[in-house]
Amino acid sequence: MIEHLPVFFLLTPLIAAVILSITNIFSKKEFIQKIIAASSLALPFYFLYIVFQELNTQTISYDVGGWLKPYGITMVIDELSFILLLVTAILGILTFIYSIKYVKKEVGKFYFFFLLLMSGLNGIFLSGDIFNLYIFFDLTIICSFILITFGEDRYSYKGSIKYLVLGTLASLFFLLAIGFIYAETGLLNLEYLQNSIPLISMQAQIIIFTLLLAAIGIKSAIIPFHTWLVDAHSTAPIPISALLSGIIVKAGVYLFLRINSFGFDIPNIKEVILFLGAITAVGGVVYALIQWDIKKITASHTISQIGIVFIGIGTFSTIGITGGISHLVNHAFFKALLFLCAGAIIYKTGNKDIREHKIGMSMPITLVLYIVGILSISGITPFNGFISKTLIEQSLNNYPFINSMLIFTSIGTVASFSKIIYYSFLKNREIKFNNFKINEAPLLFLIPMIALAFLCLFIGIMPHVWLDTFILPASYSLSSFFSLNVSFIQPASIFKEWLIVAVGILILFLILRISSVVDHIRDKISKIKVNQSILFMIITLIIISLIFGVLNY
Amino acid sequence: MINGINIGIVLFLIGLYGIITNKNLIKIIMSIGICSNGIVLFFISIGYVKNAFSPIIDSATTNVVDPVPQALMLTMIVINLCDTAIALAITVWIYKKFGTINIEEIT
Repeated sequence: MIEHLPVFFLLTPLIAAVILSITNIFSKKEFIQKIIAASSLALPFYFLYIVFQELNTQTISYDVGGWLKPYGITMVIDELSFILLLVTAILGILTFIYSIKYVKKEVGKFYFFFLLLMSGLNGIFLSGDIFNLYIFFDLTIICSFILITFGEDRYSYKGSIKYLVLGTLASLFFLLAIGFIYAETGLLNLEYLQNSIPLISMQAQIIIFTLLLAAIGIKSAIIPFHTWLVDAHSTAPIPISALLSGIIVKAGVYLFLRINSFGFDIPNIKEVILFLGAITAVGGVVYALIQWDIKKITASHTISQIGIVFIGIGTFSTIGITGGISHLVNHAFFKALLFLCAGAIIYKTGNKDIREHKIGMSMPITLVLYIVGILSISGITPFNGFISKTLIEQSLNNYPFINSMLIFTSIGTVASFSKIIYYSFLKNREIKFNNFKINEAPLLFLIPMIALAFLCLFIGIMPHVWLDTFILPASYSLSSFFSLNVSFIQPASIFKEWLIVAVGILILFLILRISSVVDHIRDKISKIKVNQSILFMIITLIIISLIFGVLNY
Repeated sequence: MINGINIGIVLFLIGLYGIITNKNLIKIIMSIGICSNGIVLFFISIGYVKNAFSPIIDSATTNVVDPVPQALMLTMIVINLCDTAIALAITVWIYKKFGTINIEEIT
């Protein structure tokens, strides 16, 4: 059984989806469909347990149909795939528990596409050749287009069509890059490409990398390729928002990590990636600061956190890549937590605008969990965000400019989340402290939120357990072995973090003073059209390829 | 200069131009179709060998075209069909909800 294990990851949700759609024809009992979906989402944990024991000795690879390696389809599980499969499984089951109560109409169709989405995600992290990556990417985004339209209002269609145009364009760029790779090397296998990519001519390398960068940029929402993200993520149903921000965006980063290990030998590559990462980190925060919609604020922070991940990976040092992978995983947990909490707030108040929530102290558990999420995303010491931020800051010793951008991002993050806390919970409270009534979210909402908050706290308190077991093997599989001797808890850094919090709250008050200017900027940004953004994207790509020096060879 | 690879890339760029300049959703979807057709032509031309036979082993034919790009493109055409179908379905929904298919007027 062990040698067929990679296929089971793919087939379990796929078969469950087919069975679910058949039962949907015969009976309308949602109970049966939910049990099928739950069992197929719980089964991967058993497979992961077996894989984890096997990974100590070797990476697992499986030739589909018995065709041998450079030409056949292979599925590979190494340490990097393992950690992402684990995150997918955890987020899948938790968002499923949340969706039991949340999804009310067309349950059968929703779970059918949900399971297909999980199958596609597992496929991305399993596939060992680059064309299969394209297939599973497309399966994932097609399922997400449909799942976004299950959202509550008609704007979900707008978000979906924006994502569709840009996502399809990303797939086409990716396919063009695959075409150039095949024309130059005659290979598609990721493992064999590592040896043959450095041998091809520099001009071809630059063209391939630029096309791949376009695909990765659109899929993982690097500025200026980000225009679809806020609309799509903020109009999707809450469990799908959590999955989109938690793991689907990370699939683009995963692709970037894989093509990094090809060893492209391009001049200025490090500076370009760091610059794009810094712009993305700061731009996402600026986006978040001008919004009033709780889901739009949370979605904008996905952009900025992806920027931080790219800064970490863009240093191309082992500690930076470790920090990047670690932040990728941590972001999946705390962003899912923030989205699920926002969902609980919207479920109780029926409103997305933070100025009209007026919750007061009536949702104490949600408030506590939300604060855990905020402290994690801001990188305050005992929570998981600070682990990865510390690692990334360590890798940036030679880049003071990027480091200052990172600090600015932290300040903006604190400011925009303090805005949510201040407006939703503290300001305008009609219920006074002495006679408040507890009106908490349903239990099925609270279970996944508590589990995610526990994970955030667990990784933060015991960083070495988590890092040594999962993250460090993943970064060894990409670059050379090194010993991590970073002491995480230092009084100076704790002081710096709380200084950032204080400055953040100060900046929030400054921004609230100039709210007319903020409204003006928001109107300007909302008027940017899809066509203009695509044109801007292509101009950026041409500029990037010129910076790489495509004409010099 | 005029070979399948170049024409494929030119078709891709024409499709890209269509996506940028058009505002009608149906026309944007058609432009995406042109883009993907360009890519199909590009891939098939990579595997093309002049005066070669189809890659079926029947006798001692040794010079055959590369079958891999053709296999890849069969898969890609199916995926692209899916993509287009969903895009058109969402366009129908958008017309029902918003009363327009101009991408700039959907607000």
